[in-house]
Order: sequence, then C-alpha cells, then structure tokens
Amino acid sequence: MRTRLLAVFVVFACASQGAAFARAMRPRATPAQATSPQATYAGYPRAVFTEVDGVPFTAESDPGAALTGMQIFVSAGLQRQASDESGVAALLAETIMRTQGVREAVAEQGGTLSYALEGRCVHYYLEARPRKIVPFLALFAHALKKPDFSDGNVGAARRTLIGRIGEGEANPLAVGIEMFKRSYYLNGAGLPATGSRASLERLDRDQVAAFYARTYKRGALEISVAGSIAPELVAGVAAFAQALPDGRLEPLSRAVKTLSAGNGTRIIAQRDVGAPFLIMGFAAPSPADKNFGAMLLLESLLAQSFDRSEAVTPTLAQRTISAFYLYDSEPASFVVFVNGARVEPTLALREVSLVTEALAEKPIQSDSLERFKTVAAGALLSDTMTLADRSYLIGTLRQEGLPADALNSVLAEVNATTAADVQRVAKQYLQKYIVAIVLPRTTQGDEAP
Amino acid sequence: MRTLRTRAMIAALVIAGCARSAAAQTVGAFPNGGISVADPIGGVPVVAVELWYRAPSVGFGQSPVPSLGRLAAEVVVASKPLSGKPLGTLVAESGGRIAVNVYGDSVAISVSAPAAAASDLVRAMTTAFFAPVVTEDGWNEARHEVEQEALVGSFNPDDVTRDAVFGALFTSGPAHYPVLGSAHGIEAISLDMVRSFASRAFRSQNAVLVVTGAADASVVKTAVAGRAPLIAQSARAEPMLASIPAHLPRSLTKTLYDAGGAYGWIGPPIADERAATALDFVADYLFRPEFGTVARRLAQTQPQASVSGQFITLHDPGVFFVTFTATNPSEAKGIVDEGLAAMREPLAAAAFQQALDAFEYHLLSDLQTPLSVADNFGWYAVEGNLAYAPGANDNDGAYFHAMRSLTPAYVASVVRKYLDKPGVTVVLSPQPPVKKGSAS
Repeated sequence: MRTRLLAVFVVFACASQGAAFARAMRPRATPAQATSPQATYAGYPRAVFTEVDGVPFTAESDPGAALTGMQIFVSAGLQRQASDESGVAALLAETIMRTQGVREAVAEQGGTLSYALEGRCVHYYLEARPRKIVPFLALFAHALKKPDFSDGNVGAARRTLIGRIGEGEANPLAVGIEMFKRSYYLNGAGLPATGSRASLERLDRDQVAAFYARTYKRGALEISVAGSIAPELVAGVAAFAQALPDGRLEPLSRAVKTLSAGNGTRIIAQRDVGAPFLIMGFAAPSPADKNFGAMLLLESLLAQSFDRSEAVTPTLAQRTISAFYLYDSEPASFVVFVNGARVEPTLALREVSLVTEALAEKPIQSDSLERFKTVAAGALLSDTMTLADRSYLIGTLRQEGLPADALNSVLAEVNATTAADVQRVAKQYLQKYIVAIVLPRTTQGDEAP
Repeated sequence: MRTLRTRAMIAALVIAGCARSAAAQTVGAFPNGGISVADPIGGVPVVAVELWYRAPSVGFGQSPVPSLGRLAAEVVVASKPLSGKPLGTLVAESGGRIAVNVYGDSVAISVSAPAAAASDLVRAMTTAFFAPVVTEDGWNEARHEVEQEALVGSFNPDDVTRDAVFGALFTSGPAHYPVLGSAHGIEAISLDMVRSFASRAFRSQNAVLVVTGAADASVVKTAVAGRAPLIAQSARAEPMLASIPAHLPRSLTKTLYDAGGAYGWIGPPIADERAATALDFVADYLFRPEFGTVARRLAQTQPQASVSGQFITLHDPGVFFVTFTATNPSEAKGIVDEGLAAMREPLAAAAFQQALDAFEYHLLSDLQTPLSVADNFGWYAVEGNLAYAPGANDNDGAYFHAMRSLTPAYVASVVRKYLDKPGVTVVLSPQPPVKKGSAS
C-alpha cells in the first residue's frame, strides 16, 4: 500500500509535466485574481480580429516578443467523429504531421510544429522567429493540402498513437475526466482523444482520407497569433488559407446526457493508481454565455477553498480538491476532483456537495467575492504567459463567440460578477452531476469496467 | 479588396503594438551587499519576483542535512509575522503563485503574479526574507509538504540518478549531497536548525532580487527605500561554495522501478563562457525532446523511452549530465554513446549552422515568460556571472555572443576535452516485482 501511494504521487507529479496531462488540462480556462482586476485589465495586450480570405484571424501583437506563436484551428476534432471512428481525428492529424516530414523539417530549421485534439477542433501550433514563420506556414500548407495517405505513412502515424495510449492511464485525473466525458457527451467529445488500440487498428487509410475530405475545409479553419508579427504574416496567412478547399461544415452536435440531482450516475473504473480519485462532473455555460465570469469565479473558489493557503502554492498533485472548467467541447462542462491520497473521498464528496448547495442557497459574502475575483483573474493571467497559451486562448474564446479582445473581456466579466450571479450559476449548474470514481486495481489482470 | 484588408490588418497590428515598449534592464546594489535585477518586459501583465540566496541546501554545519534549505524557505513562506499575514497567504490573495526551488548551492523563492500586485509583493517578499520569521505554525505547515516532495523525488529516476552522479563526481561541497534526501531524514530536522539556517542564509547582503515582467524598475527601489532595519550593516554575503571533484572514473548501480542509466562529466566553469555555451549547444543538439538527434532516434526505436541531457552551468566546475530510462537499456545506451561519439568530430558546416540556428530559437522559446527570465538571472548571479545570463542585455549579451562565436571545430574540441570518458556511470536497475503477500 505504501508503495502504491507513492507511485500515484510519482505518476501524478510526472504527468503534470507530460503531454498527456497537458492535453487533458489545456481546455480549461484558468481563473483569476487580484485585488484589482481592473488594473490588470488595463495592461493586457489588445487583440484584433479580421478575416483573411474568409478565414477568421485574431492577432495579439507584442513587439517585445522575440517569437511568433500561431494556432491553426480546424473544426475537425473529436465531435466530428462518428461513433465508429474513434481515433480518426488524431490519426489524421498525426498523418499530416508526418507528411513530407514537415514536423521534423520545421524543428530542424528552428521552429516548433505540434498539435492537440479536443472536442471542437484539432489545433496545430506553429512557433518560430518572425522572419521564419511564413516559410514554415508554407511548408505546413503543402502537407495540409495533400496529406500522405500511403499505407506506410498512415501506419507510422497509427503506431505513434498506439504508443501514446497508455500515457494517461496511470494518471487518475485524466482517467476520471475521460470517464465523465464518455458518460456525459452523446457526441464524439466523449471518445478518447487518441482512440483505443482496437479502434486505431480498425481504421484504414481510406477512412482517414474520407474524414479529411469531410472536415478539412476552408470554412472549418480559424487562425490566431500572438507575439511579434512580421509585416508579411497576413499575406502568408492568406496564402495558407488556399491549402484547403472551399466549404463549410455542419454545426456540431451538442447532445449530452441529462444530469440528475444528488446521488445520480456513478461510474467506476480500476487502474494502476495508488489511491482512489473521485471526479464530479457538471454541465457548464459556454464562454459566450452571460454566466461565464461567474463560472470562472466558482472554478477558483472550488479549486482553492479546500487547501490551506499559507504555504507555497500547491501543485495539482498536492491539492486535496480542485476544479477545472472545460470548454474545449460543446457544450462546456466543469469538474471537481477529490484526491484520495490526501483525503477520505466520500467525506470530501459530501463536503463538496454541502459547499455547492450552500453556494446555491445564499450569496457569498462581499469580501469572499472580491478575493475570488482576484484569484480568478490571476490564474487566467498566470496560465496565458507563453505564446502557445495566449494564441490558444484568444483563438478558442473567439470561436466561442467572445470578441477578439477576449482576454480583456473575460477579465472584465470576472470583475463585474456579483454575489447574486455566483448564487444563480451555482444553483443552475452545480446541483446535478455525474460521479466518476477511479480505484486502485485490486488484483493483477483486472479489467476496467 | 484583399490588399486593402491586409493593409488594414497590418496597420491595426502596428498601432496595437506601438503602445507597448520595454524599458532597459537595470542592475542595482543593496546597501552593504546583495544585488537587484529589474527587467521590464512587455506582453501579459504578469510579474515575476524572485529572491535567490547563495547557501548550501544541506546547511552550513559540518554534518550535511538534506532538505534543510527547502524546509527553511517553505517555513518562512508559511510563517505569520508579528503583524500581517504569512507571505504564502499574501501571494495567494494577490492572485499569484509562490514556489521554492532548491539546488546544491542555492535557494530560490519565486512568485508570479498579476503586475498590479508587483510593488506590494516585492515589499512583502523582502520583508519576509530579509528578516525571516520562523514560527511553529509555519513549521507544521511546511514540514508535511517537504516530506511529500522528498518521497516523490525518491521515486523519480531523474532525481535518483542525478543525486547518484553528483554524489560520485564530487567528494565534498554542496554538489556532493542530495538536495532533498529522504522523507525520514526530515524528521531529524528541528525548528532551531531551521531558524538558524534561515537567519544566516536569508538576508539582504546575500540576496539576489530579480523582478521581471510588466513592472517598472522603480518597484525595486521603493521596496528597499527607508527600510534600514531590514538591511543589516555588518555581515557579508556568503562566499562562493566550492565542491571538490572526486578521483574519477567511477561506476555505480541504483535500483528503482525503471531500467536505464546516467552519465556525468566534469565540465568547464561558468567563467569559460564559450566552452560552457558549446556544451549547452551539444546538449540541445543531442538531447532536446522531439528535436535532439539522440532523443529522436530513441523515440523511434523505443517510444516509451526517455532521455535528457544538459550542461549544468556552475561556478567551478560545471557538470554535463545525461540520464535515460528505456525498455531496452543496452540499446538506449548504445544510441546515447553513438550520439556523443559523433560530436567528437566537427559537424558539416551546413548542418552545424542549422543546428546553431535551432539552438538560438530554443533559447528564445525558453525565455518567453517573466519567470523563465528571472530564473536565469537568479541562477547566473548566484553562480557568479550575471552578465552571462541568457536574456541579459535583451538577448544580445554575453551568452548570445558566445553562442554566435561557436564553430564546428571548436565545439568538437570542447567535446573531446570534457566529454571523453564519463566521470561517473550509473546503471539504473529495475527492482524485482514484489510478491503478493509480502510486507508492504
């Protein structure tokens, strides 16, 4: 038992810096902060929006930055997959990255090209010095325009994804969130990001090509950029837009399971983890909703209320209870997790329930409201320091219907949130939920339910 | 229409950009010792405030006490002063995050927070760490977390092999000892030991205060202005801490859950900027994740394997450190060895130039955030060469000059000089599985 307990800490701590964890966490928008969100609001770089040859393009110019970071969103994420296509979105993205060795070519010449899958879209991230970003964009356009669907290339992509499948299995938080999503979403958002070994092995190159033909249209493309912006960048984006054929996609399915109050759905799985982990999954408003600011505030409240605050900031693995607002899929969702290595899970579940009920019953006190506004704003700022995070968030929020200057808008929304808003949102969203429980495997060879 | 739209977009971006410009970096000195570095950076309105102290992580006494440095810093963060709140609480309430990082010869306290809180936090941090208060409550709060961190570290292959390599490379001095040690060892640390360490290490004469990000350099001045009682008049900064290299080579075996290995070599001192930069280049070229030639080859043959390599720039000497875990460790070792052997000969000119270009990009990418810039200033200042910090002089300082001076022949010569036979070789051997029914 002692060994297992340690193992979960190790796995969890390592995973917090790993790709699997990053994928699991990226969707969240972080909360925030400070005594004076208004002061921070005044200083945020202002993002602007335009269309470049029909492609939505948001840019946050930061002339002091040495690099340019660009997110290329294609609305070809998990929610575009049919139920028998689990993994096809990832397999296609990996196939594109291998086409003409574009990922390695960019890396060798001093840049980064990577991708991540989420419910709504796949987003490719390109980072380089300003003078190189346009040539790299042209390289990527070639791969995107004509992916290599040969058996060899698709097979190599498949092997890479299969190699990654186990990455998140030992991370109880990632497992729990995936369990909740699988139960809650009645569209592809509930499917595992990279599919399963069996589903990947079933997918052939024709299915991958068909998914590409169905989803990779110019109307599915959106680009956001942060950092130093070279004068030739917009022309480069215009040329890049020609890589995909004209066309628009149908709106995404927003089908989800109806949640029930109190002791509703409970799902249980066993994994090689050292301690039980418990996830409560809730519905949540989309970023364009008037309740977004209040939900961010609730995220910071639930993320920080259960740990003492005197010492150094706890890492995720050190938190007893925390919360994440997931708006990478439509509709958005919200999870609270309980770390069984630090607290008795059923007691903690009861405590969280009492808190959410109390939040719905009466407004929080004004000093608490101000404190959590500050925390929510600070978290947002702290989580958008890199060009990758900044370009991701301004692009994601704009797709959700926020104005181009989305980060400032969000800070303003948090700042304007009232105690009545918090109470209303807690009542509307935090009373019905699904509970996902990840238990340590009891015997060798146990299969997860 | 397309042209007009494009022009309008460019104009909008230029206008948006003109509003932001960064002021120059400044270096200052506290009365009677200690330095400050301010580097205003545009972009996100976040500020990093760090305090670095040159201090052996295992304490100043004859007997090493692993974890003492970390524990002392965390206790100070959590301790409530006579008036006001603990530093940890102040940071949390400002929307910021606070961390303690400890190395063999230094302790760093770092905060990132909204820029609006910069002035208050610089003042709070210097109050807490120029005249540290250590309380029983703070002690109780911090000790449990440090024990957990030590526990986690004892299962981390990188930490285990690093401690083994450094322990064998040096016979004494801060680099010889593990920074964290065992969770059990922490039980032997008393509150008095913590108090004694804190009062000697955490004082202005021994401090490097770094403020980077969206904050004006004046916040540093206002933080120390009129605060004479906090800035003692007598004691000096701690001297540079020497670690004595052992007679090498040495080989050893460590047991963990993973199979793998590690190498360590004695490298150049921080004063030899060109050689140190050459070894940074070698580490980047061979081992950078998803880019390095060794990293990529290993990923292709063993997707579950991991490898990392870096030159650790220290006062004198530095250390080149490589560690890997793999399902087939002998194959992985072969890939590492071949990669290193290839560097003994100069790279072809075109390949070298491309690799150098990529190296420069990686540096810039790693210096994106106020925290990463502050980390570099703190580290290089403590090791005795602040001017050589990457990021100094707006990425046009000594480090970038040294990088641009590299040639294929020079890099190969540095590899032959320093990375010939490993000083220390570690074999990481997987622990046999525990049989059911055995004691846990």
